[in-house]
Amino acid sequence: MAPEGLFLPGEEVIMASVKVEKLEKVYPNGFKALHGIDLQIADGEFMVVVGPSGCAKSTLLRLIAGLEEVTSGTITIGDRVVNDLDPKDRRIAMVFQNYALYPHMTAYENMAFALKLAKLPRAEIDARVREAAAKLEIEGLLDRKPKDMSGGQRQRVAVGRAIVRKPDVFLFDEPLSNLDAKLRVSMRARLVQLHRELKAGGQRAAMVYVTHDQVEAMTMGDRITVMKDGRIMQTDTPMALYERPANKFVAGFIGSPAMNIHRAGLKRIGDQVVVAVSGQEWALAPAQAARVLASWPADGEEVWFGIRPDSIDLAGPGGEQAGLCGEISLVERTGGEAYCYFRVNGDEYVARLEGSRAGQLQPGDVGQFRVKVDEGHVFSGAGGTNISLPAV
Amino acid sequence: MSVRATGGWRLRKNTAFLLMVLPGFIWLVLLKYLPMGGIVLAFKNFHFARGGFWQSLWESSWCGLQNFEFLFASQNAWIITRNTILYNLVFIVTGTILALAIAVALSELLNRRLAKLYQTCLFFPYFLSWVVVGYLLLGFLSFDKGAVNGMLGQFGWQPVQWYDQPGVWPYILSFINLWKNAGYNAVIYLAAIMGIDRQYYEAAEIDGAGKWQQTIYVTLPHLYKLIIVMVLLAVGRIFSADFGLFYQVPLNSGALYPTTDVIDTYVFRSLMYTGDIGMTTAAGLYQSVVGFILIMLVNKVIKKYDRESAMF
Ligand SMILES: Nc1ncnc2c1ncn2[C@@H]1O[C@H](COP(=O)(O)OP(=O)(O)O)[C@@H](O)[C@H]1O
Ligand SMILES: [Mg+2]
Repeated sequence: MAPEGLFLPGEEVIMASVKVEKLEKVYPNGFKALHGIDLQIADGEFMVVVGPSGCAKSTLLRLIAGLEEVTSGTITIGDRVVNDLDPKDRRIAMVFQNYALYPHMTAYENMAFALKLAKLPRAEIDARVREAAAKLEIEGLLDRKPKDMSGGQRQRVAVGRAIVRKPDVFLFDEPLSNLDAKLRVSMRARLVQLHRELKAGGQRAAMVYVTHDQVEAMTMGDRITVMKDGRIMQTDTPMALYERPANKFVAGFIGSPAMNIHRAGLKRIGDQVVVAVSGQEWALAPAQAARVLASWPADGEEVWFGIRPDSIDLAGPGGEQAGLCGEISLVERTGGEAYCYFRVNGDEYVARLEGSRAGQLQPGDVGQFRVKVDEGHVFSGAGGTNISLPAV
Repeated sequence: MSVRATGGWRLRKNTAFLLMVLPGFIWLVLLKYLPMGGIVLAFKNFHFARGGFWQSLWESSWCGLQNFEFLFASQNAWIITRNTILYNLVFIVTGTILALAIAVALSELLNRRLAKLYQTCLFFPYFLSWVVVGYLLLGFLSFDKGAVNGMLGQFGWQPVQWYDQPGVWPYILSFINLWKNAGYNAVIYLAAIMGIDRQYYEAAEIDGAGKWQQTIYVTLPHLYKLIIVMVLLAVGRIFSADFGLFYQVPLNSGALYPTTDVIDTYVFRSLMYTGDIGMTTAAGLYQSVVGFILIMLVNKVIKKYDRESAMF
């Protein structure tokens, strides 16, 4: 029988999956960090948990890892409830933000440590460490101690230490946040690639990756869970989150530059629904209007209207479409595209324009913009729920 | 740029640091380096003359290594040297291990308030004067009124003349030394343990290390350098014994000299009874020189095995 948490060669790989049900965490000082979370992660899935700092992402991860005690609810890994299991028996591996490599051990010893403690045969340990080192291209670093490595190299050793254990679940807690911007981008790609390679190699481990960076989340995750204040706001694929945010928070958090969201009023005129925002009045598209009508806010007509910068463009000569007109405060040109910030009726908007179309726009100019209203979202005034979403 | 200009620039740049170093520097020169002039006493036949100390010093005749001869010729030289070194070796080993054990145990206590309480209790004996400790011990070991003999009596055993039994004193003194000093050293180690990043322990926990293995693989390696420095400092003092411990605690009992007499107590008694400043200075110099050589040696050995852990 293999030691818990580790596979011996030839042993059947168990399908990995994480299931979190009604999970609550109250810290000893009485602070309630998690308010009943439900989350399922399929085997082989790359799940990114994203949210602003302090929303209890690390808490969730540490509960799955077994580093914190569960207050209530259950955590299942594979087919076992792991609430009362020690971290080492949960078939998980974790990569820490500061890497937490043992400073007095070489890279090799760091990677071999867990296997050594599990009393695996020496040859097997060596084979696994070298295989992982090859995957991560750190064969040349195996004799070095952490202090003689760069941040990126340490990062890879930390990942290697996780890989050699062949866990069911990889847990990453903001592993890239200590790297410089360029390295972060390349490590991002490497980790995704690594996940794919592991999967192709028959190791269908789930990855739970915590970050506060929505760009990281969008580029890495098969699915993304957005958290806020210890609650899950939405779990879905990156594109679904972007196109169909369940609420105002997700809409504002995902996407860069952020969605333009402003106070708005709703009016029913026969079958039509008109949204009044920033001094403008736009009729919603029929399908959208029907959905808004179906969940007409009980608390009256105060709502939020959200429109992505991509859905605002410079007005053409036609001019019969819904439009905005405002003084430009800033134009950020990144080359291929430009972000144009302007003010309408005291509301700040940003539009994403093609670089060539931004042309000669200058701060101080008055710009004419057209808005693709049917790409907008209506959020209820109180809860911020997206009431213009198509029912699934 | 001339060398002078560079020097001036560096002086200005580091003024604040130099000022911080100044008090320590003055202390070092005034109390540690100037008195070294007194070393000449070790090579002089000192006699008090009219005109005070300096006059006497000037007028005393040189006597070469006579003072050292006198020290080493006495049959006690071997005993006191052996005692001093053996005691110190035992103290270093047991003291370090116990202090580490206490520190690790305290650091594992989840209840911080209780941990502070224990820490204070363990720390307390360090502040007791040796005279007090000596009489506390007498309360236990006194022939007719001591608690220990009282207990022996309860079991029907004969009372023991503890202050007449040289054989048991190495154990008693080692124990007293631990009791008094371990708490103090433990605090130093505890502070270092508290500074270790918790993530190492969590990583080790996930890697499957139990508490004991976490101590071996995380705590001790992090304390390694501190332990080396502490041991190195202790080795430098291996030729100097804790005077109070060896003089006050056995109550300067003559019957115990074979196992309690150390260089410091011997020198002190010599000075008391013979007033021979030359010989006592020679003994002091002997302690310092050997201590210095030992520090250099140990540092060299450490350097050979682990360059970065060496002190200099
Ligand atoms: N050991 C603890 N005791 C009390 N409160 C804690 C503890 N750890 C974290 N918290 C609190 O729980 C909340 C979530 O923390 P954390 O999970 O670290 O957030 P994140 O990783 O999303 O930034 C924060 O408000 C934090 O202050
Ligand atoms: Mg965190």
